[in-house]
Amino acid sequence: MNQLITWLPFGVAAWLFMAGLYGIVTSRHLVHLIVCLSVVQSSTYVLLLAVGYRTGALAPVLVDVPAGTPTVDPIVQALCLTDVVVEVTVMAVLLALAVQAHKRFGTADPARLRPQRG
Amino acid sequence: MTPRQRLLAFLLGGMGLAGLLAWGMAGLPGFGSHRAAYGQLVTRLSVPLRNTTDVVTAVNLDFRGFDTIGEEFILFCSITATAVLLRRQTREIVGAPRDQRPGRRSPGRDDGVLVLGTALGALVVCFGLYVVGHGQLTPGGGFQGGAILAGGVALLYLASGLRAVERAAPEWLLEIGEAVGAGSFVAVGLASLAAGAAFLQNLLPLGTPGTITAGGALGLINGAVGLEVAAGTSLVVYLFLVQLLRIEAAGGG
Repeated sequence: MNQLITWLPFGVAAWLFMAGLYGIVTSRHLVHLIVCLSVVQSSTYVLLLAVGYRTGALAPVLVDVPAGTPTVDPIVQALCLTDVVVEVTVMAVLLALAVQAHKRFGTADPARLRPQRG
Repeated sequence: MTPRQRLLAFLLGGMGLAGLLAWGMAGLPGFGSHRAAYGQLVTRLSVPLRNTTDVVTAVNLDFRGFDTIGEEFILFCSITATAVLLRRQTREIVGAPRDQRPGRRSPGRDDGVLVLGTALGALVVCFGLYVVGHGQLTPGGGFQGGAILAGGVALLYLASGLRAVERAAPEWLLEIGEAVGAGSFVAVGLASLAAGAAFLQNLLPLGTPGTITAGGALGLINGAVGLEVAAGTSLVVYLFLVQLLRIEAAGGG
């Protein structure tokens, strides 16, 4: 059981990554593709938070906490915040691109988008 | 490439990638046994050095504040890119909002939705301001609170339509808010330089831990980030709404 807990969070991160990648490869719609990309990126949240976790430790909010109490790693949580911000903005750009691609080609199927020049 | 070939290529490559991932993750320290020195050090020093009880905010806006400026400009550039991509194209016109045109069969505005949506919007804005303002004390800060504030704009649209959004948060105001927010973060850093210290060095009085003045310059930076994220995210919401409701091909629709 302990062995499983040790392994499980990293397994979930890897599974999310692969599932999202499968979605991107087989996607038939640009919005679906962009959501799959966000699934790939979600795996990094799970990985970061899993790496920083410490058994029995508190959240890194030191309100009414005696000095020296162990907390989980605040650095990875800060990185996770960065990660979320980047994901949201990248999704906004990609969705805007998808809107324009759909207007130009009349389809949102990536397989039917023709190459563009200029 | 047919879909079948692509899937086959993915399966081959994916198996290799999955193997590499498993190999790499097998080398990680076990879940829960993490003991990185830097994280422990920052946790120990956050209150003595900065009077800041939320260590994540102290890390993001102070200890690695310079990196966060870079991150903030990723946000800024992406929103600019979204605005450029969603602008009116040639052979397109900006019409009246589609949901408010005369002759459109619409179910009419429901009073309950209007009242509840407006009340909820006010609550969301208050909560967003609270989260922005208390980032140095408890989990929250400019990024989180800014996103909540933008939720208020989305609620306003749901309750009263695009015209209300344009009155309450016009595009020029959002653009100025975004630029001022991004610029203020850098200005706080430059102010430390002008005072003869390092860029972004925290020079303001650090206040008492657990009160809203704690953390010195952290409060200012939180406000700047909150303004930028709130205005920028609202702008994205607004631009997509305009794309959906107002922009249409010229000579038809």
